[in-house]
Amino acid sequence: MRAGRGDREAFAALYRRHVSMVHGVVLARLGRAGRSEAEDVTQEVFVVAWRRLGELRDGAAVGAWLVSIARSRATDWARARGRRSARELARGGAEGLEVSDRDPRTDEVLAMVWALPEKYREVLVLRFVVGMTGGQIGMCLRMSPGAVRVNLHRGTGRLRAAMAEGAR
Amino acid sequence: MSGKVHGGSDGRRDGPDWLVDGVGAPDGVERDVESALRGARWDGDVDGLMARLDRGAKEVGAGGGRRRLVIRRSVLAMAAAVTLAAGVWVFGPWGGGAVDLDSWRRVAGSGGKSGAVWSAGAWIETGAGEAVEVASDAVGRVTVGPDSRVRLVRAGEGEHRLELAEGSIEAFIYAPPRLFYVDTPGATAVDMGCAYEMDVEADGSGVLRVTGGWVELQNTGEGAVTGGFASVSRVPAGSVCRLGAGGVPGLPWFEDAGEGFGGLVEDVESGEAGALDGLLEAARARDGLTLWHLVVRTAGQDRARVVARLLELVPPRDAGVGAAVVSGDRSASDAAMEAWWYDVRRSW
Repeated sequence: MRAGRGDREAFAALYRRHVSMVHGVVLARLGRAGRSEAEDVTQEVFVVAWRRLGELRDGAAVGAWLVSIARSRATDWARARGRRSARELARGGAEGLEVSDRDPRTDEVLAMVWALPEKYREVLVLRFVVGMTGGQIGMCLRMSPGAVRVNLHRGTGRLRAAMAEGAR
Repeated sequence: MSGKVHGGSDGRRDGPDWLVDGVGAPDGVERDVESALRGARWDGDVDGLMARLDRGAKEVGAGGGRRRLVIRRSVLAMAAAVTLAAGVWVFGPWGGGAVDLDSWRRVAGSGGKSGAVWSAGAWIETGAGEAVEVASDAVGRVTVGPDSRVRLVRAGEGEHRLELAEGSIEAFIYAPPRLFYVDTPGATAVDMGCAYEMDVEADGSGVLRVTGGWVELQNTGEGAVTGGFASVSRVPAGSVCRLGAGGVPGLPWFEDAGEGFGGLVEDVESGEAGALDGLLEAARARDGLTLWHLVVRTAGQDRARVVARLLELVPPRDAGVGAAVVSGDRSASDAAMEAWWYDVRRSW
């Protein structure tokens, strides 16, 4: 596959291969308030990737490269969202949180994940939402297998505690 | 919460670890979380993305005033980038501002330049004490061990295939399942999303050890039975599988069963009298992996005994499975074996 300027078919193949992973990274950063916008931010990530394909000359792994763009775009979006929410709250607006039309259980568990420290959020979303294995997560996030294993288990441990607490 | 024993804070568990490797079965909480979060997955909108790229292209040259100036600057920047890319095309290994994501290149090791492209048809040959690491952005990494001969047969979007004529490789693959294949003399290892080590002799015999995910071994040598379970071994993380001469896949077995069990497996594979009794007696529920493969590699009374023991260790959800397997009806037997495989996997 050749994914370069002007080669849309190849870029579409790259997109299909990585889009759910990129969406997971974005989702892990945006928090509940941004769940419905995660898809839009994900599309932005690939627009940026399309423009910056030349950066891949050095042979950096595609997945890790996309992750770096996704983290950056999601952080920018979250900051902008924070500023907007502050303004809206100051005006007494009610746009701070969205009303979701999706499965409430999904939002409930996602809220528990988002309450965890960032180092756990990303690996848990990639594992449980995207369905990646620890090895695949390590390659994309540039983490050692041991670090992925520890974060998955510790993050899931905290999730267990949160779910048990919620069940009381 | 299930009664499963959870790992310590460092995440180490005895046996398969669904949370990390996706092998075995999730516990109650893991299953609940997966079920709840599955709905948040998004598989993209490629048409929407392409429309967005088109809109971006049309915006160049539309607008006026300050916006046009900004766009002109962007166009100049793009032109500069294209010029730079053209330079890379001439002088570098990557070409035209395009990146061949499927290409394989040398990452490290003896006897070559790092970054050099490994072309289809070319062999990597290592001597004693030498090793070479190659990688493809789209697939993963492979380390070719000492005294080995490996050829890149094909590297494309639909398939990446190596030929391991002799020696060893260590593969860490993150491509989707059934994209990466390794042909050996008489067998093919089909990657199902995994990490593994493989060592083969020129006659096709060898051993496969899987450390993450799982691998399917298919016998492709002369006289191989195609389309049947007997010529295929499914080898999950934590297990090993020998290849007989000609690449005939052996019985996979979990290494945590111990060397004694491994010895029994080898004895059964070589047809040693009395070995089957010992193997059936020593098998744990988890060793249903080995017995499941043994079912289709035995016949008559031996098959009935293997089926009976597997029924004890891993009772199938469908009570009719055992009878179907020994029915003699190939189609019913294959369907029953596939159904039983699901239960066997859950027992890890």
